[in-house]
Amino acid sequence: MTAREDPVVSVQSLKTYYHDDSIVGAKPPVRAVDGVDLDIREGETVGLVGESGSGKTTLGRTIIGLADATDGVVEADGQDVTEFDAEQARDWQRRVGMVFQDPEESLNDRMTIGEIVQEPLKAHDWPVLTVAVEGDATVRGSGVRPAEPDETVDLTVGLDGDVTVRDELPLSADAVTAAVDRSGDAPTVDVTVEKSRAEIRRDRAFDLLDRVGLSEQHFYRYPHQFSGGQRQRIGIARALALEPEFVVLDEPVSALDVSVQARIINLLEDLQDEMGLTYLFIAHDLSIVRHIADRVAVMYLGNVVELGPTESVYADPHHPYTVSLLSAIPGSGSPWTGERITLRGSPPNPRDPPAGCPFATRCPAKIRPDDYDLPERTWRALDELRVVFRTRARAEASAAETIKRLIGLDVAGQDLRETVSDLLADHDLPPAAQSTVDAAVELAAGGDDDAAAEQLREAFGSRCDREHPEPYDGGEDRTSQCLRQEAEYDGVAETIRARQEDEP
Amino acid sequence: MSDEPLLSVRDLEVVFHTERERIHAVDGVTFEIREGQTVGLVGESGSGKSVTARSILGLVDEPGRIEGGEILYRGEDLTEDNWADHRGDIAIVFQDPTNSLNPVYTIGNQIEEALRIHQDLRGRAATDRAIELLEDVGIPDAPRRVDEYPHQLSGGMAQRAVIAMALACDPDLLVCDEPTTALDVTIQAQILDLLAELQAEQDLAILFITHDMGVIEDATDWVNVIYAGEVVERAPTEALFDHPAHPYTRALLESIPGRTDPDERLPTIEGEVPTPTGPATDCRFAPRCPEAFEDCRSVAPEHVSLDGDRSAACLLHDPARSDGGERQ
Repeated sequence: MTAREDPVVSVQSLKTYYHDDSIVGAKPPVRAVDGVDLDIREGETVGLVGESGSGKTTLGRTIIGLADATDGVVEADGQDVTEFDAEQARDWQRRVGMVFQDPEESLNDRMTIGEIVQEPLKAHDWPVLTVAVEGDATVRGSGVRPAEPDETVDLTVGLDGDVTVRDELPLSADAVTAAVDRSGDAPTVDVTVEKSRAEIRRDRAFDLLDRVGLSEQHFYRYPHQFSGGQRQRIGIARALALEPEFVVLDEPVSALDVSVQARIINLLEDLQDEMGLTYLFIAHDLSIVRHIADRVAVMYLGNVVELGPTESVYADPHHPYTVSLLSAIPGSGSPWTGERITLRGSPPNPRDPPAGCPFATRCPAKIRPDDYDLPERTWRALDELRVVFRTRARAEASAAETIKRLIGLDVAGQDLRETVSDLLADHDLPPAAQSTVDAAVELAAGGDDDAAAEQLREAFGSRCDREHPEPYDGGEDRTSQCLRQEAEYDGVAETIRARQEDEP
Repeated sequence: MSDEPLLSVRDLEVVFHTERERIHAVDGVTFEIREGQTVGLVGESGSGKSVTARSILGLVDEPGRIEGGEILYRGEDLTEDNWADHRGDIAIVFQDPTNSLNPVYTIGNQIEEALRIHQDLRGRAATDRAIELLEDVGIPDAPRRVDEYPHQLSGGMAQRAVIAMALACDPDLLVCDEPTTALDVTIQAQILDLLAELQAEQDLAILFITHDMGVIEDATDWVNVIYAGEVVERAPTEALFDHPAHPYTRALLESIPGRTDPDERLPTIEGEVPTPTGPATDCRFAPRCPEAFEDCRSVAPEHVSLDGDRSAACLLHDPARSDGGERQ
């Protein structure tokens, strides 16, 4: 288990909602991140996986301050990042970096590679060299300032005028002179740096290119002269320019061929070792996450539904969504040994997430009520019927349909009955269940799809439809947001396997 | 099922003429597909796999030209401008469903158009068939969705609609060019299941083009590995994964993260895929090949037959040139 050190970043009950800016027809906000707790510990790589639209990227962006949190806390060094004022935010941006997915779009084609890599350096007026003096002294000089306690020291000056420069900086000690004046009460040190800021920045850019496996000659070229893999290296060099502690890697290899992918992954691992970086690695490719991440967070519809050490989660997933994701990995890369689980449909609309468990609408291990004893496939057909009603309730009727309704044509109703009989064709419902379904269909045919869905929910809904599960502690540094973690229920994998056996 | 392959591509040459050079995007590609079979064409970007796919449909545009070889559909050479005769027999599904659908027409309109052209169905009959097709590809509430526009469908649903459109012409061969690359892994699983189902029901042959070895492993019976315009290895899928014969195939399999211990570095292939600008005079993989020897830089390897009805274009398997002829 990773040592429980202070996290670099601690995300607590974080919510990020996107509101529409339009004045007319204001829709409910998109709940991109909807209550996430996640600690990211020093030096580790947390893999963040989930489908598109699950909120992975928004979570990453909110942590580094590129998106505004709606609620909750992102804590770093005891301070809340979401409450930072402009100056604090600038400071925070120096300490974090981001690498974007598409190397074709994230680099400005009109800038040379040298300019691109130096851009963050210029934006932050880098370098302002921090000076520490052995003993108490006042520091003066342009482009330098006294180091704060606990801050990285760039120049160390002895009272005899000796100067040491931090290794990371492209500056030799010969280019720095320190004049010590002991005439006052406390000594004063005048620091002069012979090398201009522009020169230091340029040399820093050369260093960075070298670090990511490019060379000096690339400095003067333009992005279009590079392959996808090389462009991603440039993106990485830019993200590392200000020596961040924490880097969000947003699908950094998704657009690359596998052979190029492997090289970028190796580079990221090397850089992490050399520079002591902490990574949040966002990806939808679970094999890559298994390779690079110490811990994995599985996201679904704005929630982290499972979190734990990667190997442990892959070997024994606790959440049904994790099981489904792992089983969907094509080929022999999947750690799931059973039959592949094919999730029905796509994730619900994040403007209108389910009231209970966000995964309840697609869950292969959903808890079923005790009122009826139905085979799982019948339960699913009933769930699907409810989804049909819900979708109809939310879709805007087309003009043609509205007219058909106005002139009394029951086209929609007829189609609906067909759909229902198709869905329930080879299922035997007990009479009580059948009459509930019939009543719901009548409601929907009459135009009240909402009431129809509600009726089905009351009769056939499960605990999962009503209750939003809190993260359960699964031991071994793991949590899972699934009601099946409660002792009274069968386990997730067990349930899925049993249901698969029942329904070939 | 006859012994004659449904589709036989022989020595296909597709050349792109640019101001400066001739790019041999497809350089002597040969493979076969039998009825009801799923054949994979796997390679990295720039390998020529998509150009091969488009050639089969007669969709290669200027400045590209088919300059050699044959594409035999049931024995008839399509490259002699016979595409029009077989327009309904071969259908293609592209990577990005949103680019394959016209945003201003409903899904129904678009499927009905295909039905009118290929099956001469119109009016209510066409609409009914369109609904059937949507149900076949697993779109729930099809009678309603047939009137929806592409933007109202999710990515997975849109790709299903595109497949329904491809099926509208009742093809014998479905060419799938990275059909799941733009989709999430769970949706990808749905589409792979769907294709397998359709194949079983309709005895459809499928040419599956992808860069994803996992998809190849799941979805295909037979694989062709393509590198810089040439097929370098062909084998039954299982055999290829068990014993890759060509060093490029080996390297490709090794660089998939799932196959390496997480604590180890990923094996990599150094260098870039070359752009073939002339006829092959050497092995195009030799500069990146960990097992290359002198001859590899002066001889263009021919396919060598190996056990189990497979072959590889590599001098390592040529007993006359290499002492490693027996390696696998």
